[in-house]
Amino acid sequence: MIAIIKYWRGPLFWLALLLLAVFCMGQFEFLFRQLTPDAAEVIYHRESFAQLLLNHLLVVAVAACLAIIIGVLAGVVVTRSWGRDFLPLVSQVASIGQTFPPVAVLALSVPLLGFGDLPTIFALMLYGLLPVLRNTLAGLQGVAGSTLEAARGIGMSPLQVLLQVELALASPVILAGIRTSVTITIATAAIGSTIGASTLGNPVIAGLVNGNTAYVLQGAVLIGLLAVCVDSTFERIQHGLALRYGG
Amino acid sequence: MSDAAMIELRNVSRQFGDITAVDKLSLRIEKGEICVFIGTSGCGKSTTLRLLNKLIDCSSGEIWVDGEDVASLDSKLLRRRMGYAIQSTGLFPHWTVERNIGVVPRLLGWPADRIDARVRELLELLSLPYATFVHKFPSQLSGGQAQRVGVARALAADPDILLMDEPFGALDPITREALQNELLRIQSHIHKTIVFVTHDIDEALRLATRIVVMDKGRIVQHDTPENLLNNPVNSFVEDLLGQGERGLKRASLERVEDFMLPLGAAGLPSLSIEAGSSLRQALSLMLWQRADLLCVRDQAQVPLGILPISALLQSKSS
Ligand SMILES: Nc1ncnc2c1ncn2[C@@H]1O[C@H](COP(=O)(O)OP(=O)(O)OP(=O)(O)O)[C@@H](O)[C@H]1O
Ligand SMILES: [Mg+2]
Repeated sequence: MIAIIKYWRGPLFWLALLLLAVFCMGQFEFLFRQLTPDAAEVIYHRESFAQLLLNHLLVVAVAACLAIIIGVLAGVVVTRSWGRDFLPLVSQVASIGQTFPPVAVLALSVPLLGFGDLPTIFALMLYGLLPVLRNTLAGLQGVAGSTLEAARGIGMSPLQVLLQVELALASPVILAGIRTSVTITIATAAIGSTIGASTLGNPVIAGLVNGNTAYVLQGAVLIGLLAVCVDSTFERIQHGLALRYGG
Repeated sequence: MSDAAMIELRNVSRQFGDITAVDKLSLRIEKGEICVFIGTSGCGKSTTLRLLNKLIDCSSGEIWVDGEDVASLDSKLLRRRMGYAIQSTGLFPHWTVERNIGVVPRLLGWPADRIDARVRELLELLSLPYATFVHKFPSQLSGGQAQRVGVARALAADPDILLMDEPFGALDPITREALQNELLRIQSHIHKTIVFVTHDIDEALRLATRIVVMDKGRIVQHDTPENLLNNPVNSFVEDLLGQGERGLKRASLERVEDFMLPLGAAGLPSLSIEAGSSLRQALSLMLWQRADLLCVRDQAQVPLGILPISALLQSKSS
């Protein structure tokens, strides 16, 4: 038990800070007051921070899950012998897509899906897809030819080769892609507030519109803490995986 | 279907685009043989091996294994009946030695305790101490150890046929010879049908019951090591055998006990050699010690006969 806590102490620390910020923001009113002495209100109250956090997480979770499923599947398909024709196309799309600013994706999805959570999820999913796809391709292509020949040569079925050998060996690289994707998604989800999704971006946007620096800071701190918390969790998972595969 | 051939190729060809990697190959490999393929790089040895376990398909011709046309067999099931060891070992880097060796038995659904017993047995057979190696990952093994594990994995499910593509390549001569001896020792217990690819003519002469010399996808000569040395069909085979060394190569296949003379009334020569040694070793000893007579003894040092240098020049007795 102690060993487990010790192993996860990084993420636990950030989680504790995050929860503190969510539930005890009011305690720090005096600090924010320094920042905006003239404002009528210094703590954002339109929605509770817990509610915003939950919705933010929901948007991120749905978008990230879709991105991971689609990204990994696409990566697998185009590296099979029957899907190889699409490999150049897909890897090109993956690299071009990465140069597209997320705000542009967001803006483009509004005419398609209207305002709210849905276009935000769609845009986040598209944007988060790319790191997953790119790393899945790199991971699968990095598996040595001799390992694959041996796997087939000893009589594994194509599915067994994929699951037990290819994906298992590529998993650290794929996981690194997922980590990047999720972290980007958490940060980018805040922009969803501009098109009507209710996220931790709400205080930021409200603060910018009303010239209330305290609101902006509260939103930014929460987004930052959430991102660090999730990122450090991934770091621990990757660390564990590396240990298991005997460095 | 002709009787007794474990593996039979009939007019087998395989093209890759314009390249004909294997060209109308016909060949019979009998049960219990060690058939060694040798030839220049790119002559189609590995391709032939991959045709046998259906990693690639024939462009034309038929391959029969143990009385069945492989075209009609499920490739997974066929491969699980054939051990496959390759030069680069192809060990799974994310699995321990134990899991690597046990992979085919696991695919075949053996119970865990039987797999464990088999892994122990194989590690012992290949002189890898169980406790030291069982939990190691491939990256923690030396080249020779990894190749042993590769051979152990090929043997794990006790297949009738072993396909080995330069399994001892890229090893130093001493480790290589140790592994060759191990293979011969193991083979004397288990009597598999082994198809073995090598670049090394000495390895071929040492291991083979019959050697297949290949060039440009065709068989140049298919013969026993003795016949290959005594009657190479053309200059290609002669070159492969290394012209200047042919006498020594043949001598390394011949055993002292087949050439020794009965013990005479005269006293025993002071220099001794074991009956199972090769004529090459005997000759080397004579040259080194500048002696023309050796005493032949068995493993318990009991004198069995004498070997004068003139006896080396006789054709084989028996
Ligand atoms: N998958 C493939 N695609 C295209 N050409 C191939 C393929 N595999 C083998 N070849 C070609 O077929 C020929 C025979 O190759 P093969 O690997 O059987 O040679 P080899 O005798 O094993 O050579 P080496 O001793 O170098 O291992 C070569 O010309 C090679 O380039
Ligand atoms: Mg080869």
